[in-house]
Amino acid sequence: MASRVWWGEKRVPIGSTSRWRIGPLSLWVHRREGEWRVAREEDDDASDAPTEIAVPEGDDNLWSRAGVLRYALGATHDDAITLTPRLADRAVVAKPERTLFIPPDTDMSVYVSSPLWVSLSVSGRELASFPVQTPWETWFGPSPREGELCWATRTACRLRWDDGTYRPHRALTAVRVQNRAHQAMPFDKIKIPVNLLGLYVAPDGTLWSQDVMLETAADGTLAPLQIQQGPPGTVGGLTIVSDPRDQPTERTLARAIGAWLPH
Amino acid sequence: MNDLLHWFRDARLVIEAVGILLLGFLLTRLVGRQLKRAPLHAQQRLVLLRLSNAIILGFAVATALGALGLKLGVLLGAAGVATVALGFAAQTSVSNLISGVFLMVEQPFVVGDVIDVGGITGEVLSIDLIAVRLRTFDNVLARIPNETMLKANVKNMTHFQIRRVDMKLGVAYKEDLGRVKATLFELAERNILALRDPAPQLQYLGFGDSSIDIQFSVWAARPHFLDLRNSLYEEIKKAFDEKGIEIPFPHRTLYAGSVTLPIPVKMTEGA
Repeated sequence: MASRVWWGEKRVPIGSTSRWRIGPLSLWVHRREGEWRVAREEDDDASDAPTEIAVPEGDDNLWSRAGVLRYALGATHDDAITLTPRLADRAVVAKPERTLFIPPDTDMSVYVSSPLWVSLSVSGRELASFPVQTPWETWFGPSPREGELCWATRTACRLRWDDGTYRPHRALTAVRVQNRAHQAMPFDKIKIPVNLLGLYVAPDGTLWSQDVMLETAADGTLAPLQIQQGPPGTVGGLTIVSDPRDQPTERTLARAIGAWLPH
Repeated sequence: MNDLLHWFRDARLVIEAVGILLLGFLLTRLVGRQLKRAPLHAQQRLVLLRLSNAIILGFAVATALGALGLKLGVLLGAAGVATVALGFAAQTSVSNLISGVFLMVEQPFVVGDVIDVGGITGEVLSIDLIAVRLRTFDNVLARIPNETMLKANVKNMTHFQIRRVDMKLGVAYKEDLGRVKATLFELAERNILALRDPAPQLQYLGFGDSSIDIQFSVWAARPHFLDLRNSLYEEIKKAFDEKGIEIPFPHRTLYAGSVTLPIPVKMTEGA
């Protein structure tokens, strides 16, 4: 479990630099008197094990590069910076690598992963929040006129949550599917409003969002998406890590009605 | 005594007229307060406020004049010619005013939108009673009468959240079109600004004079439209150079056929 947990409070004394690797993201934090500096880089190597990497002293080249973020917090004796995982700030459209067909009159769960954001805060004040891996944007809607901008992600769309390698920089969402229609439904694209979901951690360090439920009526119409209240139901002993970014309204849930767009 | 009575009567009429005007003024303030609370756009509020003020104050003035004993009908009749002349002079303004009301109701654009009107492209600064004001991107103020706006073809670049970048390019006839297509789609796949959906599209536009003409279309979120377009042009040029895919210059081939004599070619010294 220790290898999966990359978040929490990190001590960075004045004059020192700490570096962490979370999936494809390399994150540096440097502390000066009254100032914090943050730098980040992404690459294609999505290493599974998050690590803290020692930074040699006098490595100042990094801080002269463009893209370094500087935060002035005034005189503070707090030498701790907190890294918190958060779900994406918009809905995520997950496309399975291969279309999955849900037979008629079937209840099942499909497990989808989505990219995480990392939030950096000092003394309870958020300095920055950015994705561990910058996702692509995509449009979800019946036409280019109607719809919304979402993040796009590819997912293995597992039928067992523990099937395959878990990546600590992504969160799992259990999609409870009830197909009451008389024909098989193709599951080839789903929009999950992760910005409306809370994020939880299991005892083994796996990150889970709240569950969502998709129901298709006998006539083939989709019911409005339901967010299951409370912690996810797949595993027990979960504790909340971060609250939902936004609160659901009737309108946001009604718009998720197109969450499942068959061909 | 009679003079005093007349004076009191005249004073009463004046007080009555002033009262009517004050009432009209108070009514405009009341209507203004209600309009401020109403869920309207800023320009809608402004137009409605001005219209309501004009109507209420106009009515109040007419009633006050009537209270003073002035017959408006006589006045208007006497000023008939002037009224007709004024009508002719004001017809453009009135037309712009009415066009402004139509624009306000239809709302093809709002303040902050970027529109193109007859070749003038700019950000809408205000939609006033008579005209629309635009700021062009080289920071020039353009004032376009509402009547012109209503008659013109207006393109609103910022109405929808996503826009499509259409890139027209030509490749040499000798190129493998499958390879060209694969290269273009791979570039779109790698570009972080390109939307996954709607998916990029490629259309063959025809066999041109010098090249096979292609349109490659990629969607972007509206704020990233220009960045995507610029980055794609750079990336396509770079990828084509690396892969040896030719974008030909316009050229002409001279053909001497079997019924014509061969074209003579003369070699000069040093050539």
